[in-house]
Amino acid sequence: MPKESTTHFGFNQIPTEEKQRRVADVFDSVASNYDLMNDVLSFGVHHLWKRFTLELCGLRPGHRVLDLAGGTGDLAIKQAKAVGETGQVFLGDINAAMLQQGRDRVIDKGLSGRIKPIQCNAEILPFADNSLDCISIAFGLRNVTDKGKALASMQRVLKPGGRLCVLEFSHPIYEPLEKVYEFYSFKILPKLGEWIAKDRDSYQYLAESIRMHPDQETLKQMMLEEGHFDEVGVYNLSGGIVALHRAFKY
Amino acid sequence: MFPLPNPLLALAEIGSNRLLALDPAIIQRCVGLQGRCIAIEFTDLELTLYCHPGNWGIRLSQEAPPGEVDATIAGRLFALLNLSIEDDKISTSIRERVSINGDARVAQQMQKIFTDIDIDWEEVLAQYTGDVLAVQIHQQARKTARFVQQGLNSLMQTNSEYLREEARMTPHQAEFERFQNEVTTIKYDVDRAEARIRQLSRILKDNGKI
Repeated sequence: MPKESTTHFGFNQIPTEEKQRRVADVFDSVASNYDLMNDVLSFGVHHLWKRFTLELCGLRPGHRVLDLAGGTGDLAIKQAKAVGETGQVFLGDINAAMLQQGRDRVIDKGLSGRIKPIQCNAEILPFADNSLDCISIAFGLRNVTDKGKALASMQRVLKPGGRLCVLEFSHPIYEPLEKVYEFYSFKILPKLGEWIAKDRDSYQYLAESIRMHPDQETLKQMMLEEGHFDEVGVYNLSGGIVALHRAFKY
Repeated sequence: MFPLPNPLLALAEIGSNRLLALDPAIIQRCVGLQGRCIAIEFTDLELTLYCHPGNWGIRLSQEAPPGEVDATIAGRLFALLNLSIEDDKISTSIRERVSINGDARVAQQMQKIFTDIDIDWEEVLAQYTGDVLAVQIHQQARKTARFVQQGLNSLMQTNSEYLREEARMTPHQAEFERFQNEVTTIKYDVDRAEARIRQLSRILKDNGKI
């Protein structure tokens, strides 16, 4: 009898085909409070991380950009301003509830002409080869079932000279910070989720999925080997709690 | 090699690109250099940065690219900074401390991206304050800058003349450059004499005289 393929969902091992549904359940549950919880849990610092990412995206008027796992659209809205009226931003997310939040926000900001919401799976992107100048994915890669396949798909749709910016939780580079961060992640974060969003399990999953995500060097190697990118730079932010990986396709 | 923390490198890149974005003509020149790689070697810091220009402005990296570098500009930090802000005005002494290898045309185009940058500050200001206020602020700033510049020039000239002509504490620029050339000539002479002595002692050794 063939062995069933499994993957991690937080600290649990589950069948691979089940991960997508379980992740979708988490985001269906947190979608309405997503922005508020991000502000509370990161003390607002996530805006700085995203600003740094935006700057290193190197966007110019006329660029075509995909913000994957774009959710509520805060990065896509900033990108739309950078690419101007001649550019195009695609707000991609696999989760319909998150994308709905993003689409409402884009319409409220009057940017629906420049930002096009697309429900898509990062592993099989619905774009032509060599068609995008930049792809960003902020706090989304760790939820993707097959990261290697997703990275290869992103590399395929990027133009030569294009870049991928992956902003993701990572591993603190200072030991004392790691201890404080671990205490915060596993003791405080789920409690805050329970009190504010009335959803402890989703925030317990958040802490566990961060721990299971590859560290800076492993992700860099994955981008080079499985994603077939030609160059990858790593930028640790807030002592490595978050890292920005910037990869280039030549 | 002196490793520069990546966030610092990123900040240098962000600052440069923000500056370049203020002059659309300069960005077009970066597009013309897309696909090229220029290595900038800071000899005193033992640091090499790789600069990739393109439609995004410039990208800086510490890792050598997989392909060939098109041009290498090497020199001390101060000399390279001078090279990036001045053009024909740089003194001979600074120019001599910068070396260019590879495609000199690419290196020169890269240098001119920074020296030719021409920012319309009034236009930049107008985006935040509106046209009317921007014109007034800009005119006042220009007047103040001119006044400060004239004052500084006058002060520097007076001090310079006093130190050179009255107190005789500093030499004239031409005198200094002549002295520097003489020092360089003596250095080369000593190098040649050293090589000659080494050659003679080898000959004597080979002949069994010492």
